Amino acid sequence: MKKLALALAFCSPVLAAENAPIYGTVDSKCVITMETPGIYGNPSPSLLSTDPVNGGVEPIVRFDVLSAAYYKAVISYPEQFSSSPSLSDVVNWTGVVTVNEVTDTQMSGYDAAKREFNNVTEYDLDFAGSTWFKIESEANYGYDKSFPAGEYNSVVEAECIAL
Amino acid sequence: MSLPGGSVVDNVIYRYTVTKEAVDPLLVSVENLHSSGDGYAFRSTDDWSGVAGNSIYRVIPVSIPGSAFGRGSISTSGIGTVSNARVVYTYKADSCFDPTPGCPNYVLPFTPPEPVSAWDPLKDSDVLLALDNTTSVEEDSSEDLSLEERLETLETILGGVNSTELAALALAQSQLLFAMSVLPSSYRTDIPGGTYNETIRYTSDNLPENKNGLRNGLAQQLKHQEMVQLQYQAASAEEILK
Repeated sequence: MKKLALALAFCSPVLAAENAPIYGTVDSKCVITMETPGIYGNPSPSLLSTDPVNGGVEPIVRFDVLSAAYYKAVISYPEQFSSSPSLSDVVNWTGVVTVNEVTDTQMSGYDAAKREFNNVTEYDLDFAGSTWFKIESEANYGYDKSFPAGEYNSVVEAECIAL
Repeated sequence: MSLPGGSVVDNVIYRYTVTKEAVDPLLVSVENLHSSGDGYAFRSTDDWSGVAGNSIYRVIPVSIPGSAFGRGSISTSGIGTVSNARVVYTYKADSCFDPTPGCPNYVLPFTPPEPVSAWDPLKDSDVLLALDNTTSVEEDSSEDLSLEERLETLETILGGVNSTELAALALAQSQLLFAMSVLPSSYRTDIPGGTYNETIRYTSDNLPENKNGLRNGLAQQLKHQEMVQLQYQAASAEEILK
């Protein structure tokens, strides 16, 4: 008799089932804001520079990090024009990324610890707060060759990558 | 630093640039003395020791009454310089801190009532006119009399006045009482003087009984006997019935 009841229990079908969903949203703890757009100055026919000495304006990008030591900033100065008149010669690109302003004095050590390769500069964002990065960009056309007249645009790439 | 009354500073925002070598120690303080002169109302210190100089931008939320903020300054301790400093205070001001008309806690100023002119009777024209009436009183010629003569004259005057007035008053009262028949007429009859002897004498010693009373007593006795006999008559009647 007991065996029969046990067999019936195993054979009883599932009458109802329900799935309970769980929702979640993750907000970014690293926010990039373009604070100052850059402007190329043209101190000589063959040079375009964002250096204020050359009449340019250096672009400034702000990284807001809410959690310390979870992200790194990857900033690339331009190596080509995104739009420009037709160029028949080579453009030599140089640039440098530096920390312009901080909200924590310890962030001032970012420059000493930055890593540079090609046109890319990486910073480990070890402290919570905001860090302003200044990007300097220069373009030399040919060998002292004059840039054709027209509008020149380039792009600085700034990324916040989770470690 | 002067802020409106009732204001509360809710943010201190400052920015400055430090020029220094990374190895040099440096402390930079952005501070405001307390208006009372006791310590600081606000002070934020940045430690630049061990890091290279740079620009710093900080927003520090606070909640400090604006009245507490005294003189502000940026001080350094160590090796390095500070430049391009700028400090901004954001604050909220209560426009009704000093209540003006339209504020909920505005209280109307006290207006003293107009002085009430009291009526001075001594300045009233009618009263003064009435007071202005003078009565001339002739001086008493008896001032020249001596003290004894004065007393004698006074007694004479008062005695005459009293006796005359009292007699007239008593006469009037008696006449009134007689008119009202309150007092018998014999009250005024003159009774001749002398001795009035007893004129009525009782001579008999035997005092006869009152016949009316006797008759009355006998009638009561007879009635009593009759009532007593009635009860015996009633008892004999009940025995007969039995």
